[in-house]
Amino acid sequence: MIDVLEQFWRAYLFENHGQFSGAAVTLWLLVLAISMGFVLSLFMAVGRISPRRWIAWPLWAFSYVFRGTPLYVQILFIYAGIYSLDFIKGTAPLAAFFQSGFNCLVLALTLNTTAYTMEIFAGAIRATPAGEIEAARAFGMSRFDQYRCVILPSALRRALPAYSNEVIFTLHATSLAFTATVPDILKVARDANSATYQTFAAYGIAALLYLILSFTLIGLFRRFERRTLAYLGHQR
Amino acid sequence: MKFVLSGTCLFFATTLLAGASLAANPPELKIATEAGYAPFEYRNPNGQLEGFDIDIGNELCHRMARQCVWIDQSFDSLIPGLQARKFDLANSTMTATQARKKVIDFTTPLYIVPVKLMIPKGSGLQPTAESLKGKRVGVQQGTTMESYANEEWAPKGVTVVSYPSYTNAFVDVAAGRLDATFQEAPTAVDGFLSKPEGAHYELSPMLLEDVAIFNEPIAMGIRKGHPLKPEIDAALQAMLADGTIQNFAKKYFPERGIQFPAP
Amino acid sequence: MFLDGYGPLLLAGTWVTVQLALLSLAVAVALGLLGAWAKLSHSTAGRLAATAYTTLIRGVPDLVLMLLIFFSMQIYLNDITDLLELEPIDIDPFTAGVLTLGFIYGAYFAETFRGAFMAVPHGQLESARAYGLRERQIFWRILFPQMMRHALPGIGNNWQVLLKSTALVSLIGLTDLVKVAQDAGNVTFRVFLFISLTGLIYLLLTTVSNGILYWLDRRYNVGVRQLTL
Repeated sequence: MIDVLEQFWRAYLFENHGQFSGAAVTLWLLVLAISMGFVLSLFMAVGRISPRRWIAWPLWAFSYVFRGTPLYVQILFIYAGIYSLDFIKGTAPLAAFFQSGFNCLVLALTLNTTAYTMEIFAGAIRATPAGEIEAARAFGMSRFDQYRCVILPSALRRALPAYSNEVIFTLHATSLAFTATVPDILKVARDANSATYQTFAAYGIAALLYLILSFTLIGLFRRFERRTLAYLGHQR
Repeated sequence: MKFVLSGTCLFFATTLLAGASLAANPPELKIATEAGYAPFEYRNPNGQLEGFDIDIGNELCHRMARQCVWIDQSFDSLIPGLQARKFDLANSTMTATQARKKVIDFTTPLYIVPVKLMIPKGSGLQPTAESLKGKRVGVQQGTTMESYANEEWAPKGVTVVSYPSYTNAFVDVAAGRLDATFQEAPTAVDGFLSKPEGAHYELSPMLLEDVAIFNEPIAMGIRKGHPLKPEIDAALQAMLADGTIQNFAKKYFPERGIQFPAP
Repeated sequence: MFLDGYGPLLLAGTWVTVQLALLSLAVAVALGLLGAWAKLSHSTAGRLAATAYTTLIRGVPDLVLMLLIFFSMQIYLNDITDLLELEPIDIDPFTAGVLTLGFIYGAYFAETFRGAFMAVPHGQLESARAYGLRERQIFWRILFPQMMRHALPGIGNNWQVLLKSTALVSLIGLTDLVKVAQDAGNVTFRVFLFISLTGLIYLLLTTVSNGILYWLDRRYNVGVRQLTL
């Protein structure tokens, strides 16, 4: 265990052979995907439950495709599949974007998490007790105000346990980065394993790193939950 | 008392059953490989395993009067699998390097494969850091080629890109994401150069003769202290001596495409 | 044919994927209910154990866990059989995959069920206890049906994630759909075709799942007023 740590600690944490690697890459991927995903899915969730078919239907189709296929397949599709099309290779800005494995990976992760988060938020909005919305309407609130003051605060709180799950899922999803040639924690673990053949040490250290990252995230969410879900009073 | 009695009965019953089942089936030899490395081991469109290593393995089982059980998994899970006693042999064009010998044993050496750089025709690139500076070179994770490239070329400005397997790397070469790939010569020929997509590529003739790890022989991995090792070694040496292995090679490789250890 | 002869292999791979997902789900739901109940129980030991289980498993990616568990399961089993001087029992990759996936997703289901249990109004349980119903009756007749309504979106999500993560078992030696399709695509250089096909097959599996979940949703949401927003 010790010699694996000695040899690879830098690679596991931030740098390897002149590139960023390990935890630095994992965290950066997570931040990009989650931040872009959150903003996108907030708007998309409101549209998803709209009674207007021309808004709701394309969003449903998007969620259907991205929740219905594995992330691994989505990454392969965006990284290997799309780039093999002549149309993409022909158009200069598209070709430049898709040539980089990192870009392809972030795109796949973002689209994936947006689809799941949109469903979570949509479900939470739908579960808003009917009485609250009726009261808001009775007060003469505009659509925008209804969402801002009544629906979204209560829906986001309701969505919190499921959303925290989704953020953790995305963190774990970054472990597929090696399939798009991006060197994250798991890639470094595989390198360490090939070099030293100490499988448990190599993967164990990776598992430990992910645990620390996850613990931190879960702790933050738990704090937040305690504050915002105090009204439920169910915890013993 | 009743518990002890029923426990003992159960124990004997299980042992008898296990023994009986063992007697009923012929003894097995479990061999693991990573199919995806033509022409050594790959799957034909019917899904069956084919290749140079597969032929050697099947012949070995035949000579030892055992039934071959083939297991297909990723290359870097072969050594942990040997250690976990999931199978008896790892037969996947594995080089018998010093680092690997620390954790597992190897059978008698079987053959030696030349390692070459695959490059676009006429580009004149060579497997050196100076020639490849600023270029993107593809390798497979967990191989000696990856270790060498990362140690010798990456610090000098070469971008080394690691792939789960060479088939992925070749897809990226065809797509234009890579300038070259570094692998065993027969893999490049079978996996890319012999196909229409590989028409504009060739192998750089330069061989890295003074690099020790590329001139170590290929053998089958076997866990330390395996009881069948002497029998397996004897059978393999016999196959080399009577030319069986060389005959298999003629099916897959051009003249002098692969070398054999001196008897 | 336009599939270069890989058709039957793709079908076989699909079947492996489906079996793996269903069996893992059974294991995961059982472990999840157990875990959620333990987490909300009075006993500190139960709560600690369940919390350790869910936090540890939820803290590590599936791929890393699969690699760790797959090899250690065999090694520990070997140690035990050596100790008892029995014939070594070999766990085939399929069984190992089912146990690993079930064990991993049990933790996620525990969290989903915990949230759902918490969402049932506390007053219902209090009045049930006031009426003198036993714990078991309270669970199956009062808590469980109402909890299912809240848990369904989470269950739906978790099941779909589970189905998808079966794609990762190709790395521990199982010839599932994704492995077959990737091999086929790479060897014939028609990556786009085979990956699109894989996507379509998974969409088909998802459609069937969605149908079943919709039916469950309708069943458990009887009597709840839903406004159009």
